[in-house]
Amino acid sequence: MANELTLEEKSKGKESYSYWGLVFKRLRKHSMAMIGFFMLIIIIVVVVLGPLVWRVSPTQQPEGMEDILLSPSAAHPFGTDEYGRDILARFLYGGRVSIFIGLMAAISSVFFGAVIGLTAGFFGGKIDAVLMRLVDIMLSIPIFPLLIALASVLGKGVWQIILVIVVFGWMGDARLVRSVVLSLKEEEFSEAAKAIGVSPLRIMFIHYLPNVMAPIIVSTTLGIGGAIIYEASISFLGFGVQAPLASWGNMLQHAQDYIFTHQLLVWYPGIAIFLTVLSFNFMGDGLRDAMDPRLYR
Amino acid sequence: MEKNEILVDVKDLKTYFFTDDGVVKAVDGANFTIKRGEVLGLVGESGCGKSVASLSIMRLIDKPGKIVGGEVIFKGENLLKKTEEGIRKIRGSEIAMIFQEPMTSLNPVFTIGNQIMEAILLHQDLSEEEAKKRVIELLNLVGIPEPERRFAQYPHELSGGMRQRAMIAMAISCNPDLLISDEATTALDVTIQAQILELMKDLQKKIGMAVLFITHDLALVAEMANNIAVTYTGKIVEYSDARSIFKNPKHPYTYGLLRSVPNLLSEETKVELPAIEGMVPSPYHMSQGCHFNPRCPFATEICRKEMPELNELEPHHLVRCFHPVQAAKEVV
Repeated sequence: MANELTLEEKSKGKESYSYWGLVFKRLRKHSMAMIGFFMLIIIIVVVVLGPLVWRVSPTQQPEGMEDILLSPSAAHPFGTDEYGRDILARFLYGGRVSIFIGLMAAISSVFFGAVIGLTAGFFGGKIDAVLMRLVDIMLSIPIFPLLIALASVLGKGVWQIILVIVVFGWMGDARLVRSVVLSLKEEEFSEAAKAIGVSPLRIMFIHYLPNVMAPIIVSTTLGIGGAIIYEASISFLGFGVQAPLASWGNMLQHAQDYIFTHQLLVWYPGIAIFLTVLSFNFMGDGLRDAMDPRLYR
Repeated sequence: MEKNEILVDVKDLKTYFFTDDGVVKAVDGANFTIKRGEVLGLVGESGCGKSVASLSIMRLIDKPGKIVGGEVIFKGENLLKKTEEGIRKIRGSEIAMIFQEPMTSLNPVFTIGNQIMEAILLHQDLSEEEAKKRVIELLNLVGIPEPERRFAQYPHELSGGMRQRAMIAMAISCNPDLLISDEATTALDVTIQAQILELMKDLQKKIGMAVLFITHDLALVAEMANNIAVTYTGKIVEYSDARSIFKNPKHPYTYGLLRSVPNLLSEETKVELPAIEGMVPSPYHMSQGCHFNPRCPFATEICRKEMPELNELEPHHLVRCFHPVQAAKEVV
């Protein structure tokens, strides 16, 4: 008993942490992740609560030409755009749209990818082969040319963009989850679970899924940044969110005509996208470090 | 519960692996029986099909492996004929298993308590609270200090010995009739090994379960087993009670194994330890005749041509050999 007793003594007094407790503890020490986390909180609070404070319509166009492309002033802190609309209002509402699209698209594509990956990895054999070839096919399709075609079929709008990002974005997650499941299947605890009479479906969802959560969460966080960029690119090309509805992407699109005369129009949405994506990536990186299984203890 | 009742009767069990390079006969016609409360030791070198035999009893053989023949009669029913649902009810409740690697045989994302509770809730009609009480009882029984605190801990917070105790608690949670211990102490260091062994012996007596004790360590079976089956390349080569095997080994392989164990009490301490020549043959290139013949000092013409049958040489002492070792001296 000698060895175990000393171990016992060592662990006494120390708090016992669950895996997630440990992750959270490590995350708090990760300065980049915390910077990202607080920046995100600020961005989200501003975007969500901002329009309640700044009660100016983002779409209302004033009569006449006097209010067009104004410099920042008390009435319009960010100035006005080429139609005389208030840029601050458009910025706030656009942020809502961009972040909403990012969240929805990343979460849905990770969900979809995880289901496919879990199924492929767990059942193996023919199911695996078929699903993974589907992934290969999807990955080999060039997206932007197809977008033009899709935009004409589906129409342009927020939900269509989300759909497009999900349809072309789940493959990486499917591969990721499948690879984790394949390695879990070789772990002895799978055999041990079978040996106490656990059914296959229960093993898949109760025993494997929590083990896949760590890479899924990291992938989702990094995916949100990617999806925001994606939305911006699609909108920038004119196939995304359509005016008068604002998004950071289409604000950039409209700003490109005035890039030499009214640079501020580019800076507002550009910096917002930059900071938001950076924050999500900082957080994803921090989560990845915090959930590293090699740092289990 | 009759003492002499046969609990498990494995008849001519054959488990083959169909790989791209050919068929590997991991278990090729195994016959053995385990009575209630008996400990049967299954001994052999690595790659002799010991683990596969035990997994076959539980029907846990995955592709490309397949049980191609034989019967596993457990309490009068053939387990190999049972439905998936039927066998799942037996796994964990009537037959339980402990694995070699305590470090990896627990799921890292669940607490020890929850994992043991799962086995109980799957097979017994208990509420969560009753099950929790039972888990704490079990943790106590297997000698885990502060069971209430350990209940809520995760596997990474326990040492190897503690985890193996937790695995044992999980295995005995439903009072199984048969416990399969697949090299359960191999990964532990010697002092912990002794404790775990002691614990298993103790529990075996308390619960009265039968144990199939798989190991490559002869000293361990000597401690644990009533009967011993020695396997070589998927076949049982010698099968008898522990005493006869150790006092009077008949098969040249058993004889060689026993001679290769160092004896601290021996006077001839400077004598080089005899080893069995050669290696376990590759499963793809099995020799003709008796599989042991290339390594056997007594092999003759017939050994290279025919596979000997498992014969009852002496009462309850079965040997698969044409030239059994004659009246060997006590070797251990």
